[in-house]
Amino acid sequence: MREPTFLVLAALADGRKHGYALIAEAAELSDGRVQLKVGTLYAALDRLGEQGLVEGAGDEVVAGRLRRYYRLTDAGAQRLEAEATRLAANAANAQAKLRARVAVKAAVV
Amino acid sequence: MSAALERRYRAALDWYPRGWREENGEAILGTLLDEAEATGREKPRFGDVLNLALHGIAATAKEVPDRIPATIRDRIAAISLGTGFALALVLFLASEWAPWAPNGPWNGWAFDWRVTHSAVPGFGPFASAGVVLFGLWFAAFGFALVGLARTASFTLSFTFPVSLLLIEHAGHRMATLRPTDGALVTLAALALLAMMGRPTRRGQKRAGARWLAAAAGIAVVIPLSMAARAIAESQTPGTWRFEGRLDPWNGWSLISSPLLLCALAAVLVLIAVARARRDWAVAIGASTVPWALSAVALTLGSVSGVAFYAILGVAATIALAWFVLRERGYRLVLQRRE
Repeated sequence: MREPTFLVLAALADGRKHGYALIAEAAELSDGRVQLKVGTLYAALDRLGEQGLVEGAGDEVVAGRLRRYYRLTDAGAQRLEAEATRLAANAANAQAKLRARVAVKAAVV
Repeated sequence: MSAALERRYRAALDWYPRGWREENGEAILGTLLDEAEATGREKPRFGDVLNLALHGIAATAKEVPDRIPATIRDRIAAISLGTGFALALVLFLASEWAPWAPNGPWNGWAFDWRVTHSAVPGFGPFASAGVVLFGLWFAAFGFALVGLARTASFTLSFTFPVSLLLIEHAGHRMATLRPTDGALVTLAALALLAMMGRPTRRGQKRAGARWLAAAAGIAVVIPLSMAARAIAESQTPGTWRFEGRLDPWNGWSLISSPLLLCALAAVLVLIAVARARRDWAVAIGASTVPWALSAVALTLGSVSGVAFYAILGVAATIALAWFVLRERGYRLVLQRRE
């Protein structure tokens, strides 16, 4: 799963959100590294919708603008959890390797 | 928030297909305006507009196969599979195998008989690993003949990674030659079209046999186009030796007259239009696009460097002007005079 897709799913984990809220949340979750463009966001939402991972959650008109809300489906939540577990395991493995490297260096010295 | 900003965003959304815009246009526009407001912008960023254009084109491309009626898609698939098979057959015979060539790989590789004339090892008894690609085409054609259209499409899907592998590895790590870029691109375009529909259906062996005849006919037309070139070069047909012209390292030049095929297709399109067979006209026209593009590429490749860059420059200027006009909210409209 690519990082923008992961961030969109993660942004929806705590409830429904509209387009710009998703962009802002993705930026916050990535410490500002990922600034989703609007075209990219809607392409991802289209794809995730086709896969049954997200779904529409109602429209609202605010200040004359349409805001469409999206939410995670149960399948989307499972997929996000699986991806988060995989990333956490990868990170833990990398940390363990780094600790081993430090230990080897210390032994050589 | 200015009306001009909204107008320019709406213009950028014109890149998306109409159906998509009707369903999502207001929602994406709302997001664009929300973001512009949050960041205090009065003009769209070029990167955002380009991003919308690219995703709009991708969304349109995704919808194209669904917009074309199934009968036309099936005919495009059938014609492309037939002509692609013919091209693969000719290239295999002339460039990879060439049993008639005394110095060819089949006869012991006295020396490399292809373009470089260097001592490059072949691929078993063949000139290059290109035989794998051509083999996939033969298999796909065979599957379609017996009505296994899905298996044929599945087989053709392997031609793309194989072509990429040929470009990436052949001549380097595998130290073999490979078909030219022109041949690979033409075959890839034909494979894409052939996968658009179902060229035949189970139990339609008679229709399959008709394609075989048609494809074989086209395969004959291509070497004949060489005869036409020989005449144009003031050589009498008598001096044109078939086996000489079919010299292995002239493999690609065998199809260096795709214009002939395009002319043949144009005549067929005109006949279809005259007989009010719009579906056939569209199918033949669309199936000819890869051949027409290869003709253009070959023509561009043969003109001088200045002319080549002039043509590219004009095309790029027109494309840029069109993009800027659209980005600024203008539309070019063709309107019939009242």
